[in-house]
Amino acid sequence: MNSRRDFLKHMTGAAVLAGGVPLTWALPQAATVEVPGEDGLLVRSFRFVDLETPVEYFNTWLTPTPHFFVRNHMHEPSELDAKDWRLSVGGEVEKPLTLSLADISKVETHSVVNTLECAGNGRSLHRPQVPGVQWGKGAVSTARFSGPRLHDILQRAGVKPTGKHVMFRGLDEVPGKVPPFIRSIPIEKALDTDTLVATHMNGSPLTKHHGFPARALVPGWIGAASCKWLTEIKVLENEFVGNFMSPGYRFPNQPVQAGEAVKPEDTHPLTALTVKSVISAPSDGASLKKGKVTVHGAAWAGEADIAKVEISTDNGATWNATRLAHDQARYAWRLWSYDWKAGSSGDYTILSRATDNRGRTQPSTAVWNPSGYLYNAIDQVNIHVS
Amino acid sequence: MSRNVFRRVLKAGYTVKKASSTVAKRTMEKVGRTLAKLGTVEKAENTVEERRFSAVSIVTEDTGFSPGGRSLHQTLAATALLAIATVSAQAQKPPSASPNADLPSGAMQAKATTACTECHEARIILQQRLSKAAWTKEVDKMTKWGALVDAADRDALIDYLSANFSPDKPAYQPQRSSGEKAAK
Repeated sequence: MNSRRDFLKHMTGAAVLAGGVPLTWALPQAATVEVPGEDGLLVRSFRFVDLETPVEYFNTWLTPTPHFFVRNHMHEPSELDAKDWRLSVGGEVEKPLTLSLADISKVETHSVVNTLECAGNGRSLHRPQVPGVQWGKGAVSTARFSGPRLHDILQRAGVKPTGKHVMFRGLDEVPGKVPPFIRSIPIEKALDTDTLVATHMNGSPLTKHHGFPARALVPGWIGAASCKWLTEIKVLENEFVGNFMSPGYRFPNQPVQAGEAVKPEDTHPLTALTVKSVISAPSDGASLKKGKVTVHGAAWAGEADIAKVEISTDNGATWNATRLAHDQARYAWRLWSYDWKAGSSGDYTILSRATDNRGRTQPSTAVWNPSGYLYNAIDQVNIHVS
Repeated sequence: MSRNVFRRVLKAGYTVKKASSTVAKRTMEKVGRTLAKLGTVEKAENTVEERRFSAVSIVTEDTGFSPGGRSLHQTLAATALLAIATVSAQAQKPPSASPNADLPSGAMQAKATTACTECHEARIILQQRLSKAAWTKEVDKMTKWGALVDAADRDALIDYLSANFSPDKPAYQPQRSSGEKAAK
């Protein structure tokens, strides 16, 4: 029944006009969208849920879960009951399994601090622009994920010699005739002792937005590898054939002209993330006073380690080493900072450039590709000093 | 109190925590004076950034909106409540936006809404900045994926999307999430 309380609960923000005369107010600048449990994130989409972490939140090594970006391809499962949830393990295995959450919890737990980044992070920065969720710089966050190793679960099932790929299926609800979100990873990565069936994130059970009750966690790889609401693991002889393996989540084998079409046979599936840094402070467009300005940010390199992050305050003419923060883990980003003395007033472009221990360095222009994946150009913010 | 008015108000889909009694009293008086003079509160639509806030229509004259009939007294009270909520929200915090955004007006707005937002909300479209060639590929892909687009409407839909969401348009400004309620 609608009551006065319901009325008040549901009503705000409408400008009331009496005979064209505003009774109250002009609408405020920034309205927020209520998404329980997710705070201050940029709403790329509400239905289905796609939320971006603002770069100013890249100020803690572990991202608090309410600030952790959310990427869904489909609608979240409408019903999730931990008691009824089952994970099946089948395909090229000796002994197919059906596991409950209680079964999973009996397997030894392992934790991995992982920087999870959507392959499409930075898509909006590619030119020409390409279709897809128009992520800025923040479809990336870091958390401690915990749960059994996928290796241990596959070992119980017994992978046959014919098993070369491992497919994940989630409980996403598929609208229309959209192909289901199913992907696979090669058996070598599946058996890596850091690849998890994660049930926890930052010490708490996964929230629904992050894949409750269990998700794959494929560290150092594009976020799409880490299937949420995991319900089926299937060992395959070949890479899974489906939209989200091809044409989705593939990258051109050779550089292509911006805007050029690429044939599927000239592409390969995306796997590990590339080298990248992002400036978290000062923010783009900031006005600062002369004197000490500390530039902060984060840098990551997928399965590789960050070797150095450099800053330029003169548009790339000279580069200065930053301090890498103490916290580190194999697949996690490094926070960094640089104290800059802004001696004279004017407009400045601050650049950040990361290099990893494999010798990869951020390019000045990211490699354009038709789906806008793996944007990793040298980051920049423009500021004014007075 | 008129349930119809409340139903109408609910469509706005906003949230407010509490009404301030002082503000409420003042607003009630103001609404009373205004309504006594005018008798009618018109429907209004206001566009802020890229979404539309549908304002509430409260009309005391003979309209389809008041099937059971309603006294000026009832309308006045409902309007006062609405105004209280509005003023109160202004005093406390930015309002919540409707979860699902709207597509821009135009001849194809209704058909685009039907075709596209069955599976995803309008924000997915509002943030794109694509050439006509790219929109053509998207429309054809989505049609293959189940979007209901009459063959006769395909070109008009592509034109509508290309005109409203071309690369030369200003960048989309996303809203922020508010997660005050605890996550499940």
